Amino acid sequence: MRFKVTHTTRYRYKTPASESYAELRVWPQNGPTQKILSHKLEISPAVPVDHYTDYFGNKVEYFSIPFRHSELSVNAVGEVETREGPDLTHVLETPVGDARQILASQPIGIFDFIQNTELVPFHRIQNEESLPRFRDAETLGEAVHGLNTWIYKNFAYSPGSTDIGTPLPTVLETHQGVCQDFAHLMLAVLRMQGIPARYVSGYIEPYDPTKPGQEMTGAAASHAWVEVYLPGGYWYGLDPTNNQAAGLRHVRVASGRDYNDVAPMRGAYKGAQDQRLQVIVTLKRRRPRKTASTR
Amino acid sequence: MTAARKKRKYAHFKAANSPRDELTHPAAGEASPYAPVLEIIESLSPVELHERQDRLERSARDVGIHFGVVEEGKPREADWRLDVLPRIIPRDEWELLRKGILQRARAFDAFIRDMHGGQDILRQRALPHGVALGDPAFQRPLTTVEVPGGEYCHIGAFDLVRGEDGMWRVLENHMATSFGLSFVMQNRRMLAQAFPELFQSMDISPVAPFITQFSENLRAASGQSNPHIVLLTRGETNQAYFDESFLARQLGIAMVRPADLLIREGKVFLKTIRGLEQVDVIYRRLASAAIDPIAFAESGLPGIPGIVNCVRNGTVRFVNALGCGVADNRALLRFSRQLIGFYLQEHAILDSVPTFNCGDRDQFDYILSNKDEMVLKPIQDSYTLFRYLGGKQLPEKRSHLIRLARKWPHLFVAQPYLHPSQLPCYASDGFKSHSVYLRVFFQLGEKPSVLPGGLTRQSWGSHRDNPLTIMSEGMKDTWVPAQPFEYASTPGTVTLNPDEYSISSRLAEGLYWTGRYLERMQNTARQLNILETLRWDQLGRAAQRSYWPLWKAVAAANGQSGWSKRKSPPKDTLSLTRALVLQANEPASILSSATAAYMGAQHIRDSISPEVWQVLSEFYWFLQDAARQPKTSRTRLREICQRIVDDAARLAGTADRTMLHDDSWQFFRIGSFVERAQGTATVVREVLSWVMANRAEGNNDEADLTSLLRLLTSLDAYRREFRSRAYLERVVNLLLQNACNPSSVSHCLRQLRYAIGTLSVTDRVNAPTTLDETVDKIIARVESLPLQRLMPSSVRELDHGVQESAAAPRPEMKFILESLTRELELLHERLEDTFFSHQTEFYPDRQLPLDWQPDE
Repeated sequence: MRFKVTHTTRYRYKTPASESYAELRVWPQNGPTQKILSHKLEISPAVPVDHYTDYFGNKVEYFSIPFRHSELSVNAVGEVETREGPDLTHVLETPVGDARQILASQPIGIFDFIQNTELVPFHRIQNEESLPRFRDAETLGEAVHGLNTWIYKNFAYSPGSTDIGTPLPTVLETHQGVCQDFAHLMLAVLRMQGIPARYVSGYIEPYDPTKPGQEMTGAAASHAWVEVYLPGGYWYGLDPTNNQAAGLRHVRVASGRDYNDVAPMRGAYKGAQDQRLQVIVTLKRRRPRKTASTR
Repeated sequence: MTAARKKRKYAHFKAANSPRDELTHPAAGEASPYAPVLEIIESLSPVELHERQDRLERSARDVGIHFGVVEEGKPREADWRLDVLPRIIPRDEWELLRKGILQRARAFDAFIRDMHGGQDILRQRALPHGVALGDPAFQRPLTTVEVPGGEYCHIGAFDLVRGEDGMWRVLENHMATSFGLSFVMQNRRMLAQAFPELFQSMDISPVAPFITQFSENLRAASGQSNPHIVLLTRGETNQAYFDESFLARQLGIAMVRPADLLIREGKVFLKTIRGLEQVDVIYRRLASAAIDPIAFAESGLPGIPGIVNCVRNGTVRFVNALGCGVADNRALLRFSRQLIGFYLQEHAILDSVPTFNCGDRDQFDYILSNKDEMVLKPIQDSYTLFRYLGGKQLPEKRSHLIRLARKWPHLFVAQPYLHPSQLPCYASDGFKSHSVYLRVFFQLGEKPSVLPGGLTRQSWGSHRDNPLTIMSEGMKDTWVPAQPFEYASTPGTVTLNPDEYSISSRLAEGLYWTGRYLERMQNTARQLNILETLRWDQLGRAAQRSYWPLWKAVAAANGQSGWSKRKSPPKDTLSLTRALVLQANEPASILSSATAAYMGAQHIRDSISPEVWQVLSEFYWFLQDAARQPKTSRTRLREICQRIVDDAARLAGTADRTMLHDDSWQFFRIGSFVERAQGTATVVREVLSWVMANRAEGNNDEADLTSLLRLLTSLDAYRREFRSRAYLERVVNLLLQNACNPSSVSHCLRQLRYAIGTLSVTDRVNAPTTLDETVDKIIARVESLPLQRLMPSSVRELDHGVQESAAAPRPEMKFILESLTRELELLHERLEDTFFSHQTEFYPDRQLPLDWQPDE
């Protein structure tokens, strides 16, 4: 499927900021499940943009605005074609016990994805009895999908109830959150059981123009989900917010240990006292079918 | 040697009888390397020896005062203790040590490079990967930043102990930021001054060439002929800060804090009052984690946003390169042998002391069951572990440490109590044996070298639970006998050029704001005191009406738009006074201004005289106490205001007499003149606009001009100048145009102009010149305002007076005064742009000129 993605971030400062500096992670990457057809970044006020590839393979763009400005807007526009990834049915049939053994002798590359991190401090919820535990005999597929469904069923999606600073134990206690919280929770449960997993930021097509009435959750903002590391070196995407595997309607942008590694925009500014932030994300199918164009 | 002679020989040392003492118990069959030194010490009587130690302590005190630390607002002398007896390391022992240190340094440097590159040591499983990857000092973002020539560690140090068996072992690596180099230099100098005869007893390898070489290495690191090098410090007034300021002087480089640096177009600049100076090499003294809040978001520390990307683009270079901290990971200590073997294919010359890692379950169990014989340590310093420690310093109590270690086992190690060799240290009643530790400094690069000697530290206690601070329990000069040919190379001298760099923008800005806040505080206090003396609650309605514009003016000058917009006077003003005196969340209150001045001054503490600091902290604490009392009475509020007015005068006098009248002083003055000019202009604007509105409505109420003059401390000036009752036009003339009246806008601007003229920024291109011109223009505008025409006098015989009916101020006065206050605000922005934030240097055309000349 082809999508046009626009991701606009706008800061308005009450009194002008004298300098701003920011790093962006809004550039989708080529991978087994998608191909990037174009990417464009517009910054206002216009300043030169530089980029590099980070430790986790994400493309990072950065810029600085060294003069007074009362508004800063960053507009990333890209075209992406999503594809079916490799068929992992066989790998998912590996029993959890076997998988653990294989993973234990894995290379150093996955070390980062079984650790406690600032936003995935699984040591803090390790003793929670309500959390699903994987049995050695069940297949990896059953286990991770079971976890996916468990989160979907037991936690209410309620935008505004949490922000990125909400700690994991609070999410567990209140049984509500947004996609970021669900992704972090899922990472915690996976990692505490020795299954490596990473955080994925991206976008989701909120509704299928061919099937009205089946809206997905997580629309109108950046979406987040999880990828589980499978024996053989595959990464398998799971979206606990929508109780499904990541598919053609998921556009990946960046991945890392937790949200901190993939924050779409991280910046600092000087001088201004007060700022207002506005983020608008749109995702549109290209060459939409008739049903879509009537909307 | 006869028994009697031996006894006499060790007369001073009879209490230093520990079997581990290097001096009194030399290894069997060896001559003591201390013999020549002992000869001299033994020739002194106890009184003479005491006198030598006194002399040392005096010179240590001088150093301590010079670099006095500040704790809880009070300057405290540094605890610099240097022993009369140096430590001597025999030449052959030193040679082995030197080789071992260089070997270890090269191997760990290779490890740093490997961790940020291919991680071969992990791939080949020569090291458990959790030990290296679980270290918070290993910053993933740095793996994608190239370091020129792969030269990570340029300068570093190892802490060593000499065991009972005579073997040297490494206790800790310090390859990121190594403290204490300057102490070695200072100790050598102080001992040579206090005890010159000692130095005649043997030829000692000099320590100074090491610093000269480091200076050359820093220059070489830039790849440029004349690089701009700065020392980046956290800037806390602690022992490390001493070390840094010494080094910066010895190296002839500027000492800066993160706030002094600025990123523009991918380059790093130092903000000075002369403008922006591009920085090529940064000798850093803080952990990588505290360098860039954008690149290292997870560390939770502030820094210089974007600087890592400047390194990435090669426009600036850090010494040591970012990421060197991975070599200081104490969990690596037990693998040092493997590490040296892996990278150098050599046998390790120096071992580490036994170290157990909590991250390994078996070792942790062992530690827990032997915890009374071990020291528990984190694997990195508390800045690197900031997030794990909940933003706090490391706890001192062992039980708290163990709790933390249970939570984060991979972040802790334990070392069994050591029994390091001992040396006699002098106390008033003779020498006693104490354990000694040695920090040895090395440099890598083209010509790797080790500083001959190092920093020997004493430890009073038998065991150490806490890490040694740099000099807490005393130091010893450390001697390595010179090789005969070594004297051919005379110690190099380091060129000092302290005048090369002007004061930093941060310092200038700090003083500027301190000046402004103090002036604001003083003005508010005086004005409220005067207004409250009028006893508002006992005034008649008519009197209230005549004072109301003054209240409004004061409220407006303090940003109280709610009150200043109010047309008719309120019943009482007590709540406004309370807010403006003691309310902490009121930005213009006396309390807030004093707090801002105090906090601001704290950051530039080293540029403010202790006397000024004393006055400042006195009234700051006085106000803090006062603010804690509930329901302050009117009388009490007036007392507070009076005290602040008095203290502000005391502070101004103290500052004038105790501070150096240099560039920084001028910024302090500039700040207060800007504030005063703005205050006067605002009050005049408010009163005049009230008068004009009032007249337009046909009311006969007049503002009380005498009180207005008192508010702006100009009543006496008015009487001397005019010898008449207060007329509006004369009052305005005095407050705007009379350059002799210290409260007038004209006076403030002229003083400001003078202060800018004295700044030593003249060799710099245009920036201050245009600022001069700006101020000149405002002065000219203010002083040439045709007030006689704009505000005709109502008294015919006076000042070319006109008919009373035509005597009202002309409507354009309102616009003129509004423009004037706006212009003064812009002047502040111009000052900021020119000296502090340097906006103009890159985008001069973004500054909008403003024109407010009245129509002729």
